[in-house]
Amino acid sequence: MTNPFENPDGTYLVLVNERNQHSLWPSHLVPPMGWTVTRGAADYQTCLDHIEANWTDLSPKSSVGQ
Amino acid sequence: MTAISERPYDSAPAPEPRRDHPLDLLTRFQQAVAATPDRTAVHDGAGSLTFAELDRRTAQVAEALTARGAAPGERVGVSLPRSTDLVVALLAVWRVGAAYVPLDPAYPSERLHTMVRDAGIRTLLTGDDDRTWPTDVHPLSVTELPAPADGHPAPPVRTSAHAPAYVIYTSGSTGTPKGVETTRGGVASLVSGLEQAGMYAEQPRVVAWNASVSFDASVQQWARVCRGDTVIVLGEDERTDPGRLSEVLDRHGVHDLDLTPSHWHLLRDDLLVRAAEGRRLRLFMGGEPVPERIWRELSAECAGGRLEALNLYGPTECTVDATATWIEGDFPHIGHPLPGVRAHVLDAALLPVAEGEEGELYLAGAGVAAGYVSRPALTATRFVADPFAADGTRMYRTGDKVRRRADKALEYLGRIDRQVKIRGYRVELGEIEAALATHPGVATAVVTLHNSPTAGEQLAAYLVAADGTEGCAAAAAPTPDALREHLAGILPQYMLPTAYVALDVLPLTVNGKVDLAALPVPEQAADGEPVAQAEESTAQHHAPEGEVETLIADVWSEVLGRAHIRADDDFFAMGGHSLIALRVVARLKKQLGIALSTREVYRHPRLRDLAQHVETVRAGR
Repeated sequence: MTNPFENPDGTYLVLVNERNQHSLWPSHLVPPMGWTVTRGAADYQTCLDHIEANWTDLSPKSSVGQ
Repeated sequence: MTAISERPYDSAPAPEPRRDHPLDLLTRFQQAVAATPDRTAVHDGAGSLTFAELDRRTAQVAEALTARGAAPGERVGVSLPRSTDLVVALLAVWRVGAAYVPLDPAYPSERLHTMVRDAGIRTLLTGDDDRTWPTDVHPLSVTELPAPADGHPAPPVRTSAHAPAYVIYTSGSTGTPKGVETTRGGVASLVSGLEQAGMYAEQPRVVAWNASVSFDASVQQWARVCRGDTVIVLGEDERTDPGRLSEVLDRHGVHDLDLTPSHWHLLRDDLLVRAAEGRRLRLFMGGEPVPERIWRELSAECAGGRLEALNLYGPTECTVDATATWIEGDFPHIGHPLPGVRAHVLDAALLPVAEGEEGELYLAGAGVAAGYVSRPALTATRFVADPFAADGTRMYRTGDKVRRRADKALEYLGRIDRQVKIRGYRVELGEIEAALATHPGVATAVVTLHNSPTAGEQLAAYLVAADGTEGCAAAAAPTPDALREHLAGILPQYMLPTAYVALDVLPLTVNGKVDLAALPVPEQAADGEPVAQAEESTAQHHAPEGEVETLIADVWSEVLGRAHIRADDDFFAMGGHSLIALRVVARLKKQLGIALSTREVYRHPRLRDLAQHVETVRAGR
């Protein structure tokens, strides 16, 4: 079984939510509601590098309440 | 696949209703203290604490943590054996709004230091051990605290549901362990989910604490103190010695016991006797799939009203348990999502598969962890946008293959990767291979989980020796002892292979991958073609001599599945572990009438030393 998040030759997006949590996303699938594309379609490693460089604090931002 | 998916996600089943945030566990602990101050909260072999006493001690340790500068949201190391002190330490860390990071005193120093650095730990709660920690870490002994100050202690720090609760390190496929950071909301949701499902009884119960605090199964045991349950801490001997366990269960009137199916296998005879005598126990099985034979056995006991048994499933990344079921019927399964958990069985296009079809399990809900400490890219590939909730929340992709049965229960079918479970421990074979490859004498290595008919599941390492110095042919492979010693400095005990087989080349499939099916069976390799030519003097390899040595060698041969046992063989190096030690104890009792404890087997790992110990015991009778 192939997993859509583990194709080193695939094309991906980087999504981000209101809590600044990042998610890899296969570029051929529609990004879910509640998420913004922060890095356009790029290869796997480029997206991972973008996430490493831009998501430095994994604790969810709680600016949106709760 | 390149086309944009045309099927919108709103065709998927509507998300199950979500609960309001369940009450934080520390708040519930304060309620329990107020409601039953004199009830026993926690008991270990050395003593016990009432709820009021536990609250006072927790406040005292929390005060000391605050004085050391521990702040909300920070990670605090906890390196203590399972004990009442450990419960105090864990609650104190929560009381200051911080997350605890278990640092098992039995782990190799190198691994502990890696975890300390990775988690950015500045403060550490310890006992009396004299282990050295990195210089910028402040150890604080819970046993040497000043007397509590007069007046009222500072109240617990109020936290949000997103505040971190604990970091549990699990095996990492690339060679270093990864820390899963969960949330206070996730832990609260776990407890309330099990309550709503009727799996935690409404009235306060007495629960045994069996699992190591380094594994998240421990959370559903110790944290029950927060809902007013009494926690009985099991000592190492009590865990593995069925007679002693039974005694502790009776003495404290334990209702609930958590265990892995491997552990059940060890305790079953005694627990079944108890069940037949009407001393009913509720078993929480988890950590690895329940084999069909054990499932049917438990199912029959439950149907007869002699036992209650649950099967719990969940990755550490989703805060202990995600699905659960009462064990009934003939076929093992992992049940339904707990209240607060949403389970999706998806194909490669992230669309739900048809009922009965195999797919990968994705989990969503309050239990989904914050992510892997200091690993943003890994986190973003495993914790991904949830298209079914479509509200900016995430789901965790488990790597577990499942199918949904007609009754909607989920059936576990295996892994999509090389993660394995050995006696309930989650292990990435890639991490062991990476550790082997750091030995200068190893060119390449592959590790497999091998099911030995006699010794059960064992890790087997296959390696190709590194080339010798220039001008020489390939050097002799390092000896199994050398490899084992090397790995023991890096990996915890449960990740150490028990068989080491040197090969000239690794067999490959036509695709160029290691052909796992073509690897020799480790026992045959060990007994025939010598494993990595041992270079020690053969004079050391004495055959067993005398009645006791010969008897122990026979027992080892039988339970470890090895044909040739030498007097200087080491129990652990041969693949011994607690469950096998117990079989050794049982056989010695039966054949020599000598009652040893498993601890005595551990203390004398060399066959000759154990034999001498047995002779001493026999002479002393």
